[in-house]
Amino acid sequence: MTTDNHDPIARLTLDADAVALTAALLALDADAGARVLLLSGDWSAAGASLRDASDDDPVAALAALRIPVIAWVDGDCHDEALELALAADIRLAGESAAFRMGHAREGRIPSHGGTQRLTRAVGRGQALRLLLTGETLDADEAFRTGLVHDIGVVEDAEELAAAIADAGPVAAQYVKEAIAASADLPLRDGMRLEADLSILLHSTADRAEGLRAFAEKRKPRFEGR
Amino acid sequence: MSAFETLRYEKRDGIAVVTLCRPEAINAFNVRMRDELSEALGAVRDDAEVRGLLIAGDGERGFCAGADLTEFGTAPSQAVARYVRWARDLWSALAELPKPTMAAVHGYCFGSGLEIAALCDLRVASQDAVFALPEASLGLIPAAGGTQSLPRIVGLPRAMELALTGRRMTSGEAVRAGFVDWLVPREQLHVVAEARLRDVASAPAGALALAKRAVNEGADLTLADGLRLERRLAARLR
Repeated sequence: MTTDNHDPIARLTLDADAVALTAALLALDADAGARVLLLSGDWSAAGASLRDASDDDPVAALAALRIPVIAWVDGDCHDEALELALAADIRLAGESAAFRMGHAREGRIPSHGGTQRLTRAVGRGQALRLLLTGETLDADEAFRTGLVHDIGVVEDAEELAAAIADAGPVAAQYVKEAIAASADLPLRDGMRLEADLSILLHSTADRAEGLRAFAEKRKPRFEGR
Repeated sequence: MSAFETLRYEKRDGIAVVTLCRPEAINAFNVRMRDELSEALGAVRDDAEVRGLLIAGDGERGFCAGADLTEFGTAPSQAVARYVRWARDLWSALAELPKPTMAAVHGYCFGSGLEIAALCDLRVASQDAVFALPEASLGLIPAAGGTQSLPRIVGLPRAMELALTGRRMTSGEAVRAGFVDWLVPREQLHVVAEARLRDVASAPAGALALAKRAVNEGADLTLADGLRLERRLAARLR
């Protein structure tokens, strides 16, 4: 597990230590300087350690993060690893990425949200197909089913993270909160949440700075407050 | 026939065409336009001769460049801003209009412009249309329902990516993402859009209104409740 805290882009590189991952994610949520998380590394090892670890749940910690999360996957992302990736907001894949939800083929079912998040990501038909057959999807197939947002190289993930890090940090968190809630709320209730968050932003220094910078045709200097 | 300042309201052969009309500001959405659009939606809803609504943008440069930022900061307080938002719930009125709605989009379709299009049932665009949600890059969030409407159309990851980065989406990508239903040449945009909407609106009005309601309300219900809603609505047409 490696972290770099001196950057608005937080980077976590996955390895075989699920306990450390949970701790790192909890620490990250308390880090006011981090504006976006780029999660990459050895998904396979992380998935295996997640299967063995019974107490700590990095998937729940990842899903609860306030900042937007990008998952960069290149290589095998099976079972628990896929459940972890599904808790990210945006998944990007390299050409050698391979996805599989094979629990049921081994007499288990996902227990870190896989049945719920996979269904929301790709729809009921594709989710049942993947869960029941244990079929492996390559990057192209994962893109076509909507499991990953795009296929590219790691620099694309870095570029996306940099673009998100340029947004107003509070605004970015509220965008994430409102869009994530859109999956669970009726339209009217979702609009109410959006309006309340939007009006709450009126109180932030970042909004004032954003409007000032726009008027002065310069790049805003956001402070996250 | 309209005394509006920021819109043109025209009735043509069974449909209403509302044209956002501040071309000097790429039809930037301001308080006056909000009030006038609200009034226009009431007219569309109540006029039995109007079977569908087309929203378009005036001028060469685009459909709508977003909210008029020069008016930002003029709301007296957050409490008043919140009251005003719900005193007349314009965006729910557009989403729930019991007639088919369509946006005809050309050029810039940014911020509230994208959100207005997203609240319509159908979207026709010309090749030069370009879409973006720049709010977060200004320290704001979309506030015309965009965080709720866009993910319902294009899915959460793409909605997040567009709203978090503010990047531009071309008309081609918008078609592939399912945001734009038909792409047409610029010079034919408004003619084709009107023809398509008139074709859609030629079906029995009651069935269109109830089908729209069943889909929109059903999307927010459990399957069992959605099926009950559908049966109840279908019974009204027998």
